[in-house]
Amino acid sequence: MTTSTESTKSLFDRLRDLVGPRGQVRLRSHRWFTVLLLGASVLLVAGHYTFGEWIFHPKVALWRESAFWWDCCKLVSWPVCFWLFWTMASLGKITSAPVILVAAAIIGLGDWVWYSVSEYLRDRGIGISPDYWDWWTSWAQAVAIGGNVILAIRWFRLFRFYSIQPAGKEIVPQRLSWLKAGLESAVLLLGIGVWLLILVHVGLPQLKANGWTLVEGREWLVRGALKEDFDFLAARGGSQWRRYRLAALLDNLKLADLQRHQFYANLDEPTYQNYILSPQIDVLPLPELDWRLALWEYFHPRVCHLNAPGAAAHIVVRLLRERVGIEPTFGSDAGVLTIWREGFTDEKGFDRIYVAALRSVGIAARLDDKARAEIWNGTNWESAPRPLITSFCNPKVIESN
Amino acid sequence: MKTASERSGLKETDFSFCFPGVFSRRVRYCIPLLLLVGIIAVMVWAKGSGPFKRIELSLKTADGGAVNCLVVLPKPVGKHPVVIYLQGVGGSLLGSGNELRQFAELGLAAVGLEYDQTNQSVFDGQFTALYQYLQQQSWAQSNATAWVGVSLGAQRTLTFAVRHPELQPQLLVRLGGGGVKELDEQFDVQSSQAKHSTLNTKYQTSNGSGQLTLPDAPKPFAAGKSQLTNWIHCSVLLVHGEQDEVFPVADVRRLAEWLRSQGVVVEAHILPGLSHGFGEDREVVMRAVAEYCAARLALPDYTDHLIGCQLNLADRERFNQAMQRAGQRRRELWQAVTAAREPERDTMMNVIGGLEDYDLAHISAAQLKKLVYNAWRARRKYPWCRDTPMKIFERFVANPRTYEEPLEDWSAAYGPTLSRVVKYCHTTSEASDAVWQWMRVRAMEHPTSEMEQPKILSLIRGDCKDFSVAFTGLARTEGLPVRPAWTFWPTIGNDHYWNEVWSVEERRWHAFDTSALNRSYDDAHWMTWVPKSVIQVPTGERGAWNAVADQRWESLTNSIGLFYPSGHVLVRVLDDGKLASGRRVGVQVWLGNGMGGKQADSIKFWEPEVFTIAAAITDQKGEARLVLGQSAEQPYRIFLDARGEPDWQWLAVRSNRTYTLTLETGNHKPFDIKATPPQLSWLKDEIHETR
Repeated sequence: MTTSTESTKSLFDRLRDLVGPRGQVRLRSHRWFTVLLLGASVLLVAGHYTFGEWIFHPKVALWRESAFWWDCCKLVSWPVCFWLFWTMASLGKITSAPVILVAAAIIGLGDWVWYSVSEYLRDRGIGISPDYWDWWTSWAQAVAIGGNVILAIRWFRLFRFYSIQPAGKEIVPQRLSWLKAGLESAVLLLGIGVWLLILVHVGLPQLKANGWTLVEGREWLVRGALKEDFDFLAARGGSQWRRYRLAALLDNLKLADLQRHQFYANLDEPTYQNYILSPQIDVLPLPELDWRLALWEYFHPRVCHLNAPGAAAHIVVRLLRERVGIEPTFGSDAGVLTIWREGFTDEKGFDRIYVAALRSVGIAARLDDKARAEIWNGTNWESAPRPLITSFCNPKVIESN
Repeated sequence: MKTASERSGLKETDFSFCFPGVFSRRVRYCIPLLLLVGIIAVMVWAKGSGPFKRIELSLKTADGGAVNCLVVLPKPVGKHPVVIYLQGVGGSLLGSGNELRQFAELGLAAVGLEYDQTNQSVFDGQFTALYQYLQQQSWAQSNATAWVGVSLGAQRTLTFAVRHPELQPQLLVRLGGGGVKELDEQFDVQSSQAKHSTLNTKYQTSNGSGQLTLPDAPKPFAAGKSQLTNWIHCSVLLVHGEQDEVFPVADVRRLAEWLRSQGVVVEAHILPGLSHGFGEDREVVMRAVAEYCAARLALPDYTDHLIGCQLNLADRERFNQAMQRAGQRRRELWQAVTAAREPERDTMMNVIGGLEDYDLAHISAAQLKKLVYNAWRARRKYPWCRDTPMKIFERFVANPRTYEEPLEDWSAAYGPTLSRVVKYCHTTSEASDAVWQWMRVRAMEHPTSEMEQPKILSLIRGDCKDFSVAFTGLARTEGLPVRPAWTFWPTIGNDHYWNEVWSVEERRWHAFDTSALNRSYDDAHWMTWVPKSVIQVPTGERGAWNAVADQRWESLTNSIGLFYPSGHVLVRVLDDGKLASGRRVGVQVWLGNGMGGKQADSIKFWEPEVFTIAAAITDQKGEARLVLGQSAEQPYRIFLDARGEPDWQWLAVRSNRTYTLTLETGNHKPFDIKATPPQLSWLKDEIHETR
């Protein structure tokens, strides 16, 4: 009966049992001993702070600086705050002061080791990086987190015992069969494999394009037939891709490939790569390479039924003019995505985004020597259709009475 | 074999066994309710996240009738110019959605009306009711209105405008419209008064369309001119298809000419190959009309609803212009504004007002907020930022842009480190030096290696421009008001970048050659080592980011007068003997033939060439003002920037003197680039004296 009653006790009842009859918290450690430990921790932390400030500002008279004392006060309050937090969270059941002292001692010891290493390297004539002490600033935070993790584990064990473990119930260890163990291992391995694949296919494209992600992306995320195009894109964009996630490059590659044969049955590879695949249209102070998805989503559904580049270009320029106005006060250095989002550009910019829109649907396009859009009709380059209206605000363009 | 319901002990009629057994009955009943709440929440969210706000309303007219209207407002909702759109014959309010959306996309409040298509008098009552409604709306700028009518809608609006001249809009746009009876009558009255009538009018009102045959312009209706101007006093835009089968294009041409002869501002556009309804190009036409309306009407005012906004009128105008340019990104920028409190909000609005087009299109609300809040954190914390004038603070601390570098989160990358670097600094000098030292040490550590991270540190290994950009970004992170500076050395034939820091102690800009690794903040004597012609610095306004590359010098500020012996130049431009405004005057320095070339044992040898280094636009008085550094070995070439062989003059500049030049547009003066320019050895001694 007792066991049954114990097992039905709520967590609140168990917490109440920890508290004494008059509500006071039972402290295990002696009060003065705790004060001593905390005092030592505060001193160690203050020493660490002073050491750090001296390292960074050796020529500054720290004791004269109010900023030094203010930050020192803030920092030394951390050990006390940690102690208060864990004491209250555990209702006095966890003695956190020794852990805090050990953490503070480790921080102090680390200071000594880090400084000794720098002195040793200096004596040996080995230069240290200017970021050497910047890296060191993370050490104290790491130790503080470690100490708190230890205290959190203790807290978790303490309350799991009271809340889950029914009194008097004997735990019988279960015997694991080989078959079950093998199956579980296989499931574990498969699970890890699945997670790794998900990580590669979902996580990797979200990373910024750099040397490593480009190599790994090519290995894991690009089909064999597209590897050459991937290399072309990576080489053409060069360091400009580093501003983008890998996904932007992959989108560009896949969407261009999707449109490869819509308008041209046999398009040679250089024309495809230079005038459909490439997101670079002309030289800009701040190139924008990630426009293809936005334009493809808008234009492709409207021309997906067509096979003639000229007819499709007519539709593209009309749709484009519906979305993008031509206004001379907008600078000509805007990239394709900027133009698309602002909805305005000048005449030069309009031809730039026009070429981009044509490329996004799979029409080989480029700017001619007058910076006007032209398209590849399968045999030669011809001028792309012009928009019906440039602007009603510009009387030069349309017949005006 | 027991069924699922039997196993669970429930009756067959109780479908709750479908739910997992762990759910109690109460929880089970809650699930559909939760689903319903979820669906409603998603619908509300979807409606809220749409780009437009739709208002459907029914207005009562004076004669007791009713008219349905649809208002499409762009988000964010401010105080917008209003476009009243009237569809043609057979059109409906619901069918006008695309057109209304096109207007709203450009920041206009678009209003559609389900008007009476058979009776003009009923229409007048409906339109008056709409007019009165718009006068009372907080989102409508009642003094910036356009009426856009298509076909019958155009007929109706023109008739209404003639009948009610006191209610006319600022802009009347007629698409595929013809003449109207009221104008004919007016014309007849005038004609009889003038006894000079040649107007032959045929008008059919049965189906709302008609033909107006107007006399060949110009016609001498001087007697009726003032009367008609009283009737139509707004600008009129006529757009017509060349192949219009309802209203012949010749009628529209004659109407335009006739209106123009009566003093009305008219623009007429005949679109080649298009029919009455404009066919497939209808949306393009509507977009162009929307652009025309947006350009001619006032800007939307987004600051009107902001409580406690302290911005002055000029700053509000800047902000509204930036919001108008931002297009699709308006809502993102607005999100940042509404999420901020004063005084950060005013700063954010001023920052947005000066953002480059690239930044308007790419910066996120979170980035903006972080940028401005970090700037204000620095302003509250550091003395060198606290006493900086607000204009300088907003343009050179909170602004994310230096030149054409990518938008990077400088404060996240280097803020904590640099806070520590400047922790014990008390003056602008100390803080600038501390940041420069930090950058310098790292630049020396990695002089050539290529860094993987595409952030600021990758700039600290390039040329002087990269150093200047890097210092600007790093220093602004810690609240130092910094701007980059570009100069041209005429004797060396090279340019150079450095920085200017606003010194709160000196209350002026302080030149700091941050790209040189051996010149600290207080090392000022380098300024006069090499002769300089100009020092061009950004203004903090839009367009400055690539002004140096594009040689748009008038978009920059020339600060040479602050640091180097300089003279003032006043250039007057004459056009047919009269002072001409809006003319661009350029300044060039001439290099070659021994200047800084092989004869001077210079490292670089420049082929004979002229470089444009400054420019200014003449003001209303036809005057342009320039400040130029003391001439070194060659005079400046001051020229009129025009086609052909425009007028130009040599000018040798001495320190603290003012020169006046006159250039004439009609004066053609060839310039031989290979001719040797005058030598100015007399200035060398003065330069040495100033060191």
